[in-house]
Amino acid sequence: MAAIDTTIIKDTPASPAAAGDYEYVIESKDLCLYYGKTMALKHISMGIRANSITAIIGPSGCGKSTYLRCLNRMNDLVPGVRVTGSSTFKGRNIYDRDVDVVALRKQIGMVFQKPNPFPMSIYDNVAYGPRIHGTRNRQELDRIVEKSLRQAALWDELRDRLQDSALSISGGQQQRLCIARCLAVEPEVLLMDEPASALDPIATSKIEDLMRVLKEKYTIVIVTHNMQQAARVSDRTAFFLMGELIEYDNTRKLFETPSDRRTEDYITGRFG
Amino acid sequence: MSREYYLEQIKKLEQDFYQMGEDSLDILSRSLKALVNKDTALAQEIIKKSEMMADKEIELENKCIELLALQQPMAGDLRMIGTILKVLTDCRRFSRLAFDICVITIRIGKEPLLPEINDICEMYKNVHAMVRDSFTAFHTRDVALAKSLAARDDIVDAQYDRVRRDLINEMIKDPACIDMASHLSFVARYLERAADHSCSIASRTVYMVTGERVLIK
Amino acid sequence: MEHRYLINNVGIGLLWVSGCITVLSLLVIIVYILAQGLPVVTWGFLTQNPASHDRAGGIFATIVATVAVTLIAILVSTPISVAAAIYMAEYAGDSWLTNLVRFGADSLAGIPSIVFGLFGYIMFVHYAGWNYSLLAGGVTLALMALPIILRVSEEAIKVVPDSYKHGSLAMGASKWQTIWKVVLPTALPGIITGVILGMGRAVGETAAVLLTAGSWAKVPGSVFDPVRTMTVHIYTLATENLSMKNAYGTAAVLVIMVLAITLTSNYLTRRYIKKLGGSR
Repeated sequence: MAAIDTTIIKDTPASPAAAGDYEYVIESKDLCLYYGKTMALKHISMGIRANSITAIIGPSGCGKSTYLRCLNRMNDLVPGVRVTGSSTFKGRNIYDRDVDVVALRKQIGMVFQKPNPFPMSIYDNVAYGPRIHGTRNRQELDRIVEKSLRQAALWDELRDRLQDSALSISGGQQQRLCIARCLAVEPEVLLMDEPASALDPIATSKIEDLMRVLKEKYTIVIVTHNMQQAARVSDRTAFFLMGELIEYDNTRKLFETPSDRRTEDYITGRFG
Repeated sequence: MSREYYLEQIKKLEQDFYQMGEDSLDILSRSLKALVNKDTALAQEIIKKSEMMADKEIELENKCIELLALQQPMAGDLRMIGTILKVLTDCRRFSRLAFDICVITIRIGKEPLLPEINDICEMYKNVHAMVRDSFTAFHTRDVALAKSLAARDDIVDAQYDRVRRDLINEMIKDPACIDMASHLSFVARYLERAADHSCSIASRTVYMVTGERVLIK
Repeated sequence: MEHRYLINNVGIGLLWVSGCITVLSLLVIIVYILAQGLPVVTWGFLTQNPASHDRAGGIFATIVATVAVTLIAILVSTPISVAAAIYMAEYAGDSWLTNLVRFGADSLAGIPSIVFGLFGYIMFVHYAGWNYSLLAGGVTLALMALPIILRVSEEAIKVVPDSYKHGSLAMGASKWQTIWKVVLPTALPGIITGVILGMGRAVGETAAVLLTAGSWAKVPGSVFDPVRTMTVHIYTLATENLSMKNAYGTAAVLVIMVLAITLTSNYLTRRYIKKLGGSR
């Protein structure tokens, strides 16, 4: 395991360390989060391996989405949120004061529960990220748009409709477009917050197939309230309950022989 | 997220399986009783009951498949259903072995048995206890009890070996009783097989409770 | 049971009648003005300046004045109010300051225009030394349009879904990039509506321009020249009983202008929304 040494963090602010240098791309240690005085996350410690799919499950309000949003500091947008402990991305604590949140979010992309394409053309949606990060060259943009749409398995469906509004395509396509939009800035990690909960089963399985392909190149963390989905796609699964990490194990192990009574009760529907 | 209906179904499946075990063991016991008492009427009745157990096996198997398909059971429930699917076969074997013993009983008719029948009955006491305990272990999730079957199976195996050798000696001494001796040798063999099936149930029971695979034999 | 149906039907009937009254009164006013005014409106009426001490001639200078005054008002007030709206909706949150600004804007919107006129007269005409002028009139109208554009734009920006902002921020866009590239384009139809409403107030204003831009019915040479807007022209013609015929003619042109602005902006907004995707 990579030593979380504060001297490393301070001396090499932009260390271009490869993911392979660390056992965990993302590692939280004793992470607590407070909404005002309420403690929403309690001493979460878990590591996320590169090129794997990690699922986070748990009942509503267990803190699973909150935890996901800690990983790219989207919780900063919520007033009154305070975080203690650490969460590292490639060995560097993302809650350090000198961390560039904008650069962090470029490396850790996020897909939301409801497809949220911008009200602009399909092309402009995918080109949005590269553009805000300074790519102006039209050929370069064309190349990125095609590559990202191909990676999201959308190119063949949408290649002739790039100038159409992104709101004119189906919900499942919109969600894959949002994934393509994330991929366009070449992140290393994809955070997915219940990405298929608003989609029908066919669109859902397309997203799941896509995840399996994407994990070759990216590290994926998915929050889902659908246990079967977690079981189907993930390599490792974490079970959250009332802000605590109850159990974190290989997916097969967690669903076949969970160690904790509460995990068992939850996944077998004996909750409460 | 309460799954009343599902939990009821799971409970009922376990209950039904346990009941099938009880019934199978009862059939096995009575088949031996029919043999000892030369009660061919009882043997006939047991043959019929044994066939009914085949239907019971299919019924429970369907129930397992239904639960898997419709309820997506997880964790302990998944292990239990998987285990029942597997040990249903073992459970069914008990009544099938009883069936075979009854066929022999009918074939023997009124002919006198050999004295080794006493050893066989002695052996059956152990087999009966093993089968009973394998179901108890399953029902009460008793891993220690399940694991105890390994040593007890060795004892039954030894008893079987002795009975078999004694019967061969009988055949050598008196070729006229070759028929009867071979019949009884088969009965002993069937009972030894029953003990093996109880071990199979026990080892799956350990998986069901702990998730780990152990071999009990 | 019957009783309930009765109340229901009476209720629907009342609503229907109210709707009819609204539409009818609007139609009656427009038709009446057009009927009275249109016969006067000729090419000459539109392109000539008032003559014979306003008793005859056209209204060219007043059209120019109205357009110029409105343009100045919108050019001055739009950037300020949209910037303020962005600040209030995206940065300030619900602080005492934004509440104060909102309260102030609502109060301003309710102040009689003659008070604005007096203020403009003292501040711009006198104190700033712009005299009665296009500029003084335009800036005074800008003050009047400001609260309208501000409040409508703020609402338009506020209703841009958070999911758009989060989507943008989660890709590493800065807050400013998010506002500029996602929030403002999405809010644009609403902001345009605000500007149109502000324009409407500026075009129709009489008292305030009378006190700040004067009543000089000549085409202005610079922003410091006094002007007479169409509304002031109507007022002058009517109160001094110079020519009711020309007053109706001017009113007809004014009504047509306002209708044209509204229809064009509606059309443009609808086309823009369609381009965005049409699902909003």
